[in-house]
Amino acid sequence: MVSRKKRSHKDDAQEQLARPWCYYCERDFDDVKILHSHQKAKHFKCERCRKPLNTAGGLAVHMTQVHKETLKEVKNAIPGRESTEIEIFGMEGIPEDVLQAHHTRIMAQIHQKESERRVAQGLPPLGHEGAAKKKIKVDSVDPEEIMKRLAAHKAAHVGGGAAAPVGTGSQSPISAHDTGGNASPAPPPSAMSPVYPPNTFNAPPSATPPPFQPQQYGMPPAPQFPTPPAPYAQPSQAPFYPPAQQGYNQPPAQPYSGFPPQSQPSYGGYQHPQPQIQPSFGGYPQQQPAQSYPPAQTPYHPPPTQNPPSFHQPPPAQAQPLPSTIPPPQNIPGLPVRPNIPGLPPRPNFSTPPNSGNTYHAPPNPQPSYPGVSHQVPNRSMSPGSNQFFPPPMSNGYQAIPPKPFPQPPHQQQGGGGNGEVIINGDQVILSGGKDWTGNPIPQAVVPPKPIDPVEPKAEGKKKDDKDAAKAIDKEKEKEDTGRRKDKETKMVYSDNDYSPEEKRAALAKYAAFGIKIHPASTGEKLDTEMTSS
Amino acid sequence: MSNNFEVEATISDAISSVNYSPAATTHLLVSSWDQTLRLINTHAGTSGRELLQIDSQAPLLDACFTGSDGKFAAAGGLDQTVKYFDLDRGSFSTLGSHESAVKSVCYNSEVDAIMSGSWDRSLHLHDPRAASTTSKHTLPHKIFSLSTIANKLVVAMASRSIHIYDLRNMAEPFQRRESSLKFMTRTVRCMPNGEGYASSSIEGRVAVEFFDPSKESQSRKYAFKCHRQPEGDIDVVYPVNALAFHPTYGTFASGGGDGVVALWDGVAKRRLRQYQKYPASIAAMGFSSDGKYLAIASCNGFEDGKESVPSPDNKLFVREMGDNEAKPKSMG
Repeated sequence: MVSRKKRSHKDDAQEQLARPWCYYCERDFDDVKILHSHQKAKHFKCERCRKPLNTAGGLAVHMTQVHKETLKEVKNAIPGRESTEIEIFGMEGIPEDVLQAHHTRIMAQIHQKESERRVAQGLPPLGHEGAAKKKIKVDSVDPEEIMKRLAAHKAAHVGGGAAAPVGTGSQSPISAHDTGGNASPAPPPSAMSPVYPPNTFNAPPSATPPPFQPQQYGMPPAPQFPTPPAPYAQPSQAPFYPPAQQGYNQPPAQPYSGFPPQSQPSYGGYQHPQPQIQPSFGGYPQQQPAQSYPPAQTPYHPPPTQNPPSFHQPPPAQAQPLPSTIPPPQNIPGLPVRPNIPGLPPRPNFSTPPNSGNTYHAPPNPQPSYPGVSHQVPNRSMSPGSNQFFPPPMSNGYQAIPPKPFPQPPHQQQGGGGNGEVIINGDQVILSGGKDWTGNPIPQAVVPPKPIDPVEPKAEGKKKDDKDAAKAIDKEKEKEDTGRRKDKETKMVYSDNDYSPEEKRAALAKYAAFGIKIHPASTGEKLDTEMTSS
Repeated sequence: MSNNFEVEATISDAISSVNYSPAATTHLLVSSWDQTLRLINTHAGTSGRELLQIDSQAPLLDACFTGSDGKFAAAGGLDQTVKYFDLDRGSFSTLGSHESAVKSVCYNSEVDAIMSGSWDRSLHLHDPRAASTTSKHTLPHKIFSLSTIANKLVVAMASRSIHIYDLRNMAEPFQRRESSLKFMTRTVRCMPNGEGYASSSIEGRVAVEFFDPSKESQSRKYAFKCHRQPEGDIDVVYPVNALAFHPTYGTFASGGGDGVVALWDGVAKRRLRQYQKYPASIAAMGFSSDGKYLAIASCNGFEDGKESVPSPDNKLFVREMGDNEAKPKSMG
């Protein structure tokens, strides 16, 4: 990055984000093949025989079958990533939250470097550019108008403060966007104003993802801010969103802490900012959440991803066209406020995987959610940039999953190697009507529903991955089984279990002088009976 | 890679055992069904030279060096006696006798005793200095193979029975076990480190087990298939006739009825090497005391229907192991 200063740091960021990286050690690589070989060599190599396997599951199977040992953890993994239950293959199978955390980290790094660079060059700090613009806009706004809005805002803040936290929980990101839109006299840029739930949702299919995009990318603030940037460009908005601007510059910015429920699970550190926002827009959050997605929202606050699913449902088809229309999401918090980043539009797609999982949880939504899932797939294809960012996980997961995943429930379980996640999947499926995606009844026994906790999103995110994992494991098994497990028909060259070859030999005529005899019918030797008894 | 060569020897019948001397790394003790015990310097000249040939007056089923100087040996055979050979003088004396052929003999240096096992289900201990039998033990089954290390004696018997004795207390078996292999035990060999033993069966399988009766140790035991050759859809399974542990690395070689010798890393549970097929069934194997050489006896007569086949191919090979050839991977 630094070496190529001529390139916009936006491009660098994209490039950086697009680099395949290793789940186990956070190293990044030039391409996925190298990543694969790295994982084979560093994480999936059998300690016993040094055979490189493709996945942790494969290694576990190998260890079990070949060495009769149990794989306890993945080697050379950073703490917390040693689990063998997560099926990682290259970029595939990385849990959503980890993926997000990684992106957050990368963006933070990029941002820091950029900041340093700017400091070194005497440029204004990141985000200030945008602020300046906004200020100008602010000036253009009528002072009275500003005061009015401020008053209204305060009032809303006070009144809506209580409701905001809960209701927004799931949708909070969107609400933030919406609020931005509303505040601005001309909501156009951010179409997602609360007032227009339909729009928000329609656009969102792609739009909904935007809120989550940030999460996925690992940049907590991003989700909230993406939309705002556009609004800010407009003078009128400026007064209301001064904090927001700061927020852009600083991902963790407090002003946006209004979305704790969602953010907490996923972002951990970024929780605080969201709550604040909500209060400011108190009125909006309430409306949105309550109206459109009451059931889903409250129960599933913890998983950040859950919200998106709900949104996808309504306007699946529409969503696709929207990607282009959604400039805000593109903005990356760490980056200077750039409304549209060419490569980034696809992000919405990323959010989809988790969503799909979430949708299953929410009883009311389940069915709608399925369509949404399918939509997501198309969206992906729609979004040009998506591939760049997470080609393997996204593409494979999506494509592979929709067709085969549920049809083969048993596989999933196998693939999961008995880990709870698979079960969860099965559970989810059952909850959604006892049928898989294809509509086939699910043979699995009903698994007691697990309490919904922040961890679940992971599981859901893995759903698809699990399937892949299952496949991978099956493959591995097939490989390793060939010639082993299958007990071939065998023909023993020496099949006499009673007399050893030497005894038989000794009974030959040429050794007759030594009196060794064999009694096939158990005449002479008592041993015969003994042996047959065994 | 290893260098393999055939040792010239005038052995007219199947070879029953090959053992390298504990003192001279190139001296090989060879017992044969042709009623002779030979001492061969496998590295004299280009293809070895017979140093000694003693007519034991009966087909020998097993032999071993006794003591640590490589000057004495014990052997047993179809004449039901256990003989004590003075290799310097080329003479022998009888230590004792069983009521059936003596299938296996071994020597333990810690207690300085010779153990002999017979198809008559008896185990005898002999004192080589006193040239006498010191104790006799009746076991439940025919004895097929003996192996000893440290103060342990492993007795592999018919009916998949295995007894492990503590040589300091021969009154009762230290452990009675059933082989983890489902077919007749062919041979048993103790690990050089004294932790356990490997046994092989007629059904192309080798088991590795440990003495320590603790659950932890016992969970380490395992068995694996080997010496099988696919023919169409059928796996032809050969008996594993011979096992030999590398004295320093603890890896071991297995020799099967398919004429194949394979080298295994019992710790990593991985095959290190598989050598080109030998002309006939592998009957016996033995590592030299320094682990540099592996003597391999190849002869017909150990598979169904081949017992009576005249086997002109009673050949003796020596494989010179490369420096790291038998080294387990785990040792880098």
